Amino acid sequence: MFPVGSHPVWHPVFETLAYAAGYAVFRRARDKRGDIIAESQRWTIIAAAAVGALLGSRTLGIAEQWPTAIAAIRSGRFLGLLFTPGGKTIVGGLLGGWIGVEVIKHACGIRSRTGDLFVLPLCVGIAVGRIGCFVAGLADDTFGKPTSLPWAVDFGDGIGRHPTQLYEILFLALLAFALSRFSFSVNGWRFRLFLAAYLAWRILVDFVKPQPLVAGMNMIQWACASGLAALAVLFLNDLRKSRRKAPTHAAIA
Amino acid sequence: MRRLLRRINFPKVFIVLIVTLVVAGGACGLTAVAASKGGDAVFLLAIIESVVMVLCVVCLLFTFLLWVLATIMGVNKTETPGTVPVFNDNNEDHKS
Repeated sequence: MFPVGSHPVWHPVFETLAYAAGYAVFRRARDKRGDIIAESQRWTIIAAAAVGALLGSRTLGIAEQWPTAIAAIRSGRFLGLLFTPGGKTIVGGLLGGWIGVEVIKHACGIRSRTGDLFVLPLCVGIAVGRIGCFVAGLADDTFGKPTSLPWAVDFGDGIGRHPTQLYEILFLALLAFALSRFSFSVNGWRFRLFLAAYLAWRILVDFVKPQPLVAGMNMIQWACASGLAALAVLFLNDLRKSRRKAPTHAAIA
Repeated sequence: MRRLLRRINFPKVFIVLIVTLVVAGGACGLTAVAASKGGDAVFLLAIIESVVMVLCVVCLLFTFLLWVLATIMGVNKTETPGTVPVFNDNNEDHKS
């Protein structure tokens, strides 16, 4: 068992580093590969993603700790709800950001798929942010269940736990490597594949996190399942459209 | 006023404020909650975060109002093309 302790003061430091690193990678990717939309549109999309991520992250963060949230609602402490345990969740941020982007794209009439440029920055940003979650230890809601595995970590309470944050960093490194190796013929598929892989990963890894369950899974896992269902619908929709186009091309040929 | 509004990149300002608000929002479990369990450093951090959060919300509202005002006045930042020019007219190789 590795003694790590809990140092919540470092969380904001690593979170700020995560945004900075993500932005640096985004700039680099954009300079290298170019962009399919104008710069002002890109900034509007990022702003919409940020608003959506903020709302989604906090909403799912509260929902994750639903027993405390329900108690706060029943006692009429609606303002207190903002300060209930459960802070921010990456899954809520990703799903909220995705919804925010789709809303603003619809409003501005942007039809291109714009997510591919965000894949590598998101992988790097989340990985750096998870270092902060790991160092924060018990003050953060991301630690794992007790285990007797040789790589268990002690966050200061004398109990060996799964280092779920480190599992996630490893997974993100592999995912970023895999996604950067493949080239995709259709715009947007890289982002959708990233999102699907991350949501599927969270469904798995959250089974070793001690969170309140609803019908066998926690609220983050249910949100991941909903996101995966939405992605499956979009994928089938794309498949149907490409099949419709195929006979037309064959007829022309 | 018009010139001032034209100079501001509202989405960028908005993003910086939201990121600051999110960071100030504390850890994946709120710092304010962790502070109630003890630790002077954490309690101090919780106070700083709370102050930054309030400031950010005020600035966000102010920026949003200015953004709406700029949109109503028809002040928009000029469209800039993507970062990678496909054809570079200033390429020295093409000059005879």
